[in-house]
Amino acid sequence: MKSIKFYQYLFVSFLLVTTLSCISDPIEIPLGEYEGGVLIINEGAFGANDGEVYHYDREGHGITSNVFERVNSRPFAGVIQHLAHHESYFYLVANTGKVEIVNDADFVSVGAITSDQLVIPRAIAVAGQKLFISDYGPYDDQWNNPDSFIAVVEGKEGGGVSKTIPVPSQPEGLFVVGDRLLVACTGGKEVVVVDTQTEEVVTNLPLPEGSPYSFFNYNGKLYLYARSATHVYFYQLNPSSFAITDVIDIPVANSIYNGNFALGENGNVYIIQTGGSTDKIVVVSLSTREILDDNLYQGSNFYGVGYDSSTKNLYIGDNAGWQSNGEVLVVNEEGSLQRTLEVGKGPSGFLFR
Amino acid sequence: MVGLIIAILFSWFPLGADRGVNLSDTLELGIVDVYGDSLGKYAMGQYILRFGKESLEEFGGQSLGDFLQARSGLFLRQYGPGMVASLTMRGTSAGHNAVFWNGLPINSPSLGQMDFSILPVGGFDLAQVHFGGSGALYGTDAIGGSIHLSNELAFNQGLSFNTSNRFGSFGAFHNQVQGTYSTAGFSSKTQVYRQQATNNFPFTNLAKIGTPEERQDHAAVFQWGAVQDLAWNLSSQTQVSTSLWWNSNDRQIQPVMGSNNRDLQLDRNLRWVADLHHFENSRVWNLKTGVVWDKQLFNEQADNRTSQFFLAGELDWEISKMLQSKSGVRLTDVRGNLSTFSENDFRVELYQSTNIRPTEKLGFSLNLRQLVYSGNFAPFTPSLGMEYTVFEHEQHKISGSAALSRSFKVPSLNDRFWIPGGNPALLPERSLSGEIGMGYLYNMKNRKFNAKVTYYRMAVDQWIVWMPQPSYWAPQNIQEVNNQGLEVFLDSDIPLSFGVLQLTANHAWNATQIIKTGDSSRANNGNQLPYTPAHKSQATARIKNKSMGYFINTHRVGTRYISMDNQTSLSPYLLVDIGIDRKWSLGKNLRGSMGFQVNNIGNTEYEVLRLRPMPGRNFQFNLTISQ
Repeated sequence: MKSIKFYQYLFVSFLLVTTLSCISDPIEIPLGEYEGGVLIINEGAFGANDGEVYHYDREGHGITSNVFERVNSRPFAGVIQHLAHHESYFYLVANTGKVEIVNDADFVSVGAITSDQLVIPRAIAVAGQKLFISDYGPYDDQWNNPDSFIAVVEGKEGGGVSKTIPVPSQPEGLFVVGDRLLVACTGGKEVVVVDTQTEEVVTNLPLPEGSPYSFFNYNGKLYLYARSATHVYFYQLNPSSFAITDVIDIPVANSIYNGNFALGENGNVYIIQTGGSTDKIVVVSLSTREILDDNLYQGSNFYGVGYDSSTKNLYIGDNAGWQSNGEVLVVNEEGSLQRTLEVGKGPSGFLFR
Repeated sequence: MVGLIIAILFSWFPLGADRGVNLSDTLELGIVDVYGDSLGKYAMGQYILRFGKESLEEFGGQSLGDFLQARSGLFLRQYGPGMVASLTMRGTSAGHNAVFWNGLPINSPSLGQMDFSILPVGGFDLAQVHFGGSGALYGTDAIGGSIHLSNELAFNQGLSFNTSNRFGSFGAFHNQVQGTYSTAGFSSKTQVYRQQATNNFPFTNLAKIGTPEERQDHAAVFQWGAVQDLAWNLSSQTQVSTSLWWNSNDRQIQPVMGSNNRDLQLDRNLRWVADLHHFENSRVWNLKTGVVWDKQLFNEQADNRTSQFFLAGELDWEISKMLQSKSGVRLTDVRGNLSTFSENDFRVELYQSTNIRPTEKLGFSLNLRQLVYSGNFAPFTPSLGMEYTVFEHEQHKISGSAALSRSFKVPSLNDRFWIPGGNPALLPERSLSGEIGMGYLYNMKNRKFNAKVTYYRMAVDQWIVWMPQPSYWAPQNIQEVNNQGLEVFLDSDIPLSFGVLQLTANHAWNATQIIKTGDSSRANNGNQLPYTPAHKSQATARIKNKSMGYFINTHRVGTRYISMDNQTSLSPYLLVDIGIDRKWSLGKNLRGSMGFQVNNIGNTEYEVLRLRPMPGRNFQFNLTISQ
């Protein structure tokens, strides 16, 4: 009996020690390989499906190429239009007709959407347990997209398309506010509001000027970025009714057609201005509503831009005229080149972690 | 009589299957009932590889692109079986080779190149490959080389019929019917062909999670066409010949892995040529006219049509045994009705070719050409070739050759006029190339060994590249590339107790050095051009006797980089095909052959271009009946 009690005490003691040690000295889970640093989206060339993600280590300055292929032992095989992060997943949207879903820590593939119903997917948003994907739909004989839609997928790890919601032409950026999904319809020049529960369009908001591209939050306010050949526009939207409450209209001509821009600090926005052989980074201010610098940095073949708030550096993607792999120019806020990174085909966007 | 005259005058015109030709080793003489241009006559110093009917027949139902990929050292960028296939010769681009059919240039004037997948081998009887810059001989596009397709007709052969039928894996069917009739003064040949393939071959879908094995979808091809050849001997000195070729091609465009495209492409091609040849004692006059009409409809929306009308006159004159001359003029009216523009282009070409033979062992070809297009002068284009018999004794012959040539490419209609982006001010692309070669020929009765090695260097500049602009892409004369390489051709006949063993082998080494690219901010100096393998090898062994034939063929394609920076590449691949063929006869009048082929016997999984799968092991049966 004594022996049994001894072992009981020993077991209880072991449990206590183990439990206490866990409380006082938690087990450290190492960070995943891609939980820090900069993810560089290389769009890939049309017809070649050679889009890929590169990773840049800010501290060691190392570049990891072809992250998707490296981890999953198969090429991404698509043209990457959008990389979205939600909870523990990255969603990679290929405008060639699929969405790949990977773990955000290690990039291991966990799911996909490869439905035949996806035609030209552009962006993705997660609302509850549903995925919403903007899709241009097919081109008509005038190269318009009259049958654009939002595809709905039940389940955050992919699967089939359960429903398509017709929207005005060429939906791009998506944004979830509560149970509402905002859709920037670039071709239709309006914003559509979708009820994520009923999966129906509840409101259409035509824009007075410009084509809408994407939404963002700044200073607790919801903004919509739009552009025309001569101006860029920042529409402030009411977070409930989504009505336009303010318009910041800045005369920046020839802002890049893909709608790429980067939001920096203090409401500074970095925009690529294309100009034939010379492209520039123009800095505008949401606070002063004017151009702060009409030529922060210039070069050629600028295609994507991102702002790294941790280092206060600007990342500019150079597509090398689509003749070869591109490079990323790391530039500080004063416009001085800090570093050049050799990356993949058509660097178009950045995700800073 | 006419045949005899021609045979004497044009003794360089070769007959027989699959032989390389340069002047020094063109020993075959033959009576050509219907006159054809003597392709190698003014091409001393350069090499011409020829494929006759026998070789082409093994590829019944397939394209010239498939044939050249498997049976030569040339590399074709194939987007899938039956899909677009473009040729690269000596490390140049798809638009840097000229393609001729019965002497008419048939490259698309809008695209500036040829899709070799819509040239079915059933549409012609002879294919010849002229290696090296030959703009002075043929005009625009012949920077890396040229391909010459021709139909052959014979007189006094009576009536005959032939049908060829094949079926194989992945829904492949091919039927061809041919009828010929000829008398001493008239000859006719009619061919009709149809072929189709579902191309639903299995492949590993790398674009999908789990890389499942799937069947290729949306890659079906249907093709049919007809060829009519006619010739008349109007007199003992005058001959008229004409050929008409209609080809219709409908295909689903095989999507690149990871894409869900459902594109459709329809191609229609009508080609007509007529020749009048008048033979005098030492002169041949030729009046040639023709039409090349192409239509391409993409997704039933983008309708692109072009027409080319040709009128040419030429005098080929043997002034003496030491001196031969060919003088000519060609007028071309190009009319383009493309989906975004309509433009015309009128071209005038003057050319002069001269052969000088100071001794029996030494010969020179000097060619000059000036082309004017829409009032613009293309670069004046000279070439000089030389051949010299170094050693000749009994069965052995060693010869040396050298050539220096300038070539050019007139910017295509799309380059100049496409809306948006077309640039009418573009300059012609131009090249300067030089080559030296050595040949060895051993010829004794039925035993033969022929070897040829050529080293070349080439510089191409004003290379047109479409570059992105703020809102669209536009072409610029921006790229500069230097190439060098080595070509090896081996060809041997070895008699056996039960037949003959024929061996052929080709190897091409093409090293391209990018000097200047469209991206001025980056130096790609020294890099290999994308999808231009440094090495391509091919070999065939064939055993034949009176009733049976066996072959094994292999080709290996080396590493292909997928972009200018050479950071990503496709692995080399090697394919092996085998086949057996048995001749048969039934009574006095009916004969034919039946055969069986296994292609890609190793079931090698490969891509010619990235993410575009090709078929694994596949089978093919064939039956021909002749009467």
